Amino acid sequence: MSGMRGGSLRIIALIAANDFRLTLEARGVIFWIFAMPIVFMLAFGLAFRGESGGVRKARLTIENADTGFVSRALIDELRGEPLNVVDSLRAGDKAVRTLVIPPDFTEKVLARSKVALVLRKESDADIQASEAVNAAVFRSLMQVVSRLIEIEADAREKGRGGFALAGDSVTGSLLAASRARPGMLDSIEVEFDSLRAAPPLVTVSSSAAGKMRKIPSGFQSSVPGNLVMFVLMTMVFSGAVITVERFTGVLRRYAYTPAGRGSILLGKLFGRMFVAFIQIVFLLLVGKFVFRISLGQSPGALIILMTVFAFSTGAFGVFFGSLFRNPEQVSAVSIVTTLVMAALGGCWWSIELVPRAFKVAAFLFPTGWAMDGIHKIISFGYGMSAVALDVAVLAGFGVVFVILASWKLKLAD
Amino acid sequence: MNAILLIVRNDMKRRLRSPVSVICMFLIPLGLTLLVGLVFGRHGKVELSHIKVLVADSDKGIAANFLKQGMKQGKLAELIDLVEVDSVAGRSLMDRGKASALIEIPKGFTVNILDRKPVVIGLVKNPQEAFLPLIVEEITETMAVMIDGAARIFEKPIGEARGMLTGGRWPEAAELAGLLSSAKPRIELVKGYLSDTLISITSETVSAPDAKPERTFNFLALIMPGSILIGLLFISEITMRDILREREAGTLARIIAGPVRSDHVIAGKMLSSFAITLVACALLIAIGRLGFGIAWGSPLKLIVHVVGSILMCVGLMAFLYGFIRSERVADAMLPVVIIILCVFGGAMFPYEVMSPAMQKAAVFSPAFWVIDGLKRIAIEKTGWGGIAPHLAIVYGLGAVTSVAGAAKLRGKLAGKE
Repeated sequence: MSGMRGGSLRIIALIAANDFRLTLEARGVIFWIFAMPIVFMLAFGLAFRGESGGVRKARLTIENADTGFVSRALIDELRGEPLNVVDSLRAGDKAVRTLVIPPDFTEKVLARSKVALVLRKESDADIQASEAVNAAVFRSLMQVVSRLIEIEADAREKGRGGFALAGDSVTGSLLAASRARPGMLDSIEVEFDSLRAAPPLVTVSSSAAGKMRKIPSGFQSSVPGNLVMFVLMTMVFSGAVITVERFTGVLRRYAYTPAGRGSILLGKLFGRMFVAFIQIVFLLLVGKFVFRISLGQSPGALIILMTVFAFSTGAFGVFFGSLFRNPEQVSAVSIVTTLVMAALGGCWWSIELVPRAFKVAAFLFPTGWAMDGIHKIISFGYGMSAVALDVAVLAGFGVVFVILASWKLKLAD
Repeated sequence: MNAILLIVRNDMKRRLRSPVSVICMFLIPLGLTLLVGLVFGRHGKVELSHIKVLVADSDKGIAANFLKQGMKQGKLAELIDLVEVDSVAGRSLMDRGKASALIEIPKGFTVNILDRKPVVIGLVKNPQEAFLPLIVEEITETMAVMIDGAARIFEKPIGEARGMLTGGRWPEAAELAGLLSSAKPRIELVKGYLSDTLISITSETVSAPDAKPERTFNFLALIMPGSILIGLLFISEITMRDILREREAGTLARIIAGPVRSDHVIAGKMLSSFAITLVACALLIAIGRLGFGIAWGSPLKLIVHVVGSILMCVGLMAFLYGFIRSERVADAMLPVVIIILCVFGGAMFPYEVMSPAMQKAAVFSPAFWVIDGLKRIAIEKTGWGGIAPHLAIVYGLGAVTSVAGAAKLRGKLAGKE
């Protein structure tokens, strides 16, 4: 009995080694497995590195027609915000967002007259970055206004000329006060600057949950998504190999060997899994050393999670391969299936943005569990125990698909 | 000519008998557009569900209440789902990714503000989420500035009423009246900005000078041109593959041994590939119109651009197959070439969201000219001048690659390679 088991294991290992060798001999496949994911990681990382994504700051051009100190103070406040504030555009540059300060801004603010700032943006401006600019302009304006109110209140209480409280409204203004006394405008400006120099009383300190305590940015989101998608491709397309080998009669030849259907299936699966394992390690190293992403504190857990993911999707691929007779058909269906699973599983876009039904739907696919586990390791910095459920579910997917595939697989048409 | 038409007819019949691969390639653009449409809707606006924000208030004072109540007002109430937790539970929930952010209001928050001592609001963000925690951060920063400003403006009246505000009891009516009276002049100064909007911010959206504003924007019109091109390239790839397959199977040698010249075979294969891709494209455009509500713009411009684009796809594939020796190599190389052209040409994600460097690189991909031409016709309703460079490039590239590809394939069929 143990001899039989040992024989089966040897056959599985032989088939796996042969499949592994054949896969690595195909130069084109090597390109797909190792080079294309890097192209995608780079392209998606660069394309979706939004202006407010932590890498590039939202750009705001200032058109200041005012010469007074209030507009200067407003611009200084804006410079303190996480924005790329631009005074003048270089030739060929496009003003994506522009804050237009009217010529009489300082005078009108000091006179407590109505004045409008215009925030102009191009129709194709990044919406998220524009919202960040809106908030920053609002905050800066609030800081300027609160200091002016402090000065106004102080001036009124000290009985400086030009101010009075009549019933429910304030009469007079800093402008009136400055006109009432020579040099007053300068002293208002000095007072404003001294208030500005005071450190803020209330500040916000941001950190990330989990063990990493660092906010992920840049390629941190493009690398995991593409890692999962390309391991998925590697494994799902192993099903196409099954179809091709049945089509060309290679599988029928196995029937003349002591290898049973189960051994053939597992041999094929493990051969591809070994390819996927090398792919996973290679891409994680590329992520770490080329794209400089953090792999969390447990790279071992990451490799285990991804290897179990490769098992589940490989089993799915083999099951798929057992369903089709024509290699062209299985290739085409594999492409469509891979794209759908990758998109719905959260490899293409951040799952937080999709409606609730899609958040739930993500967990119908192995990709959803793999992305969930990857985030626990990479984003939160957890180890193996945190991804135990993800690993168990992925392994469960794999076992079910292996059973289905061994039931459906025919060695010859 | 008859020989060419015969080859086309046979190829079409064969494809009809076994349409699965073409149908699958046809489903790629539909699937991609459908997925994006389902997730982001026709208008491409991400409908954010409530952002779950935890707040751990270790202060319970008036300033902490101001912060919490501020987040429950107006539009913020529609955006934020504020859940009060204790600090330990909050951290635990955040560590399990159960909310977008946790706001930690420290003990002594109100007293310290009254004493003019700096205070720090803690914000713990969910590292799994890229956007929602940033929104919470913007809101919290703004609330901090508001509290800071209010504390400075009302420093004196608050100082006078410090005992009342921190006494741990509800103030007497007389005390409140005194506080209001003392604060009234400053309230009046603030009111000018709050209710009289002394300073307003007007938002304006401007379009590029050469862009005509569209009447009704359909986000899917931004996505589908790229998806269509992916489908067209793959369909022309699998239909042109017949040359390689039939050459490997020996069928072509038998055909050429008869009265049919290799030129006829190549022309027939290219024409059948063109016809199948054209039918697929027409169906995709029709589904785009009827299923996704995309107004494709001027039919004439669309037809002229689509014909040129398909000519380019077929020519490109003929050219590439001229260099490919076996189906195995084709399997490995061509999808790679197609995907790279699509990724950098703006088919996988819109050109509009690309970084400036990628936008500059995109114009070197033929895919860009097909996709951008379709967008200009469909979204911008541009005139002939607007798509003239696109037409020149797709027709020029189509003609050059078709001629060069046919010459290379002729050499291959003649057995020179």
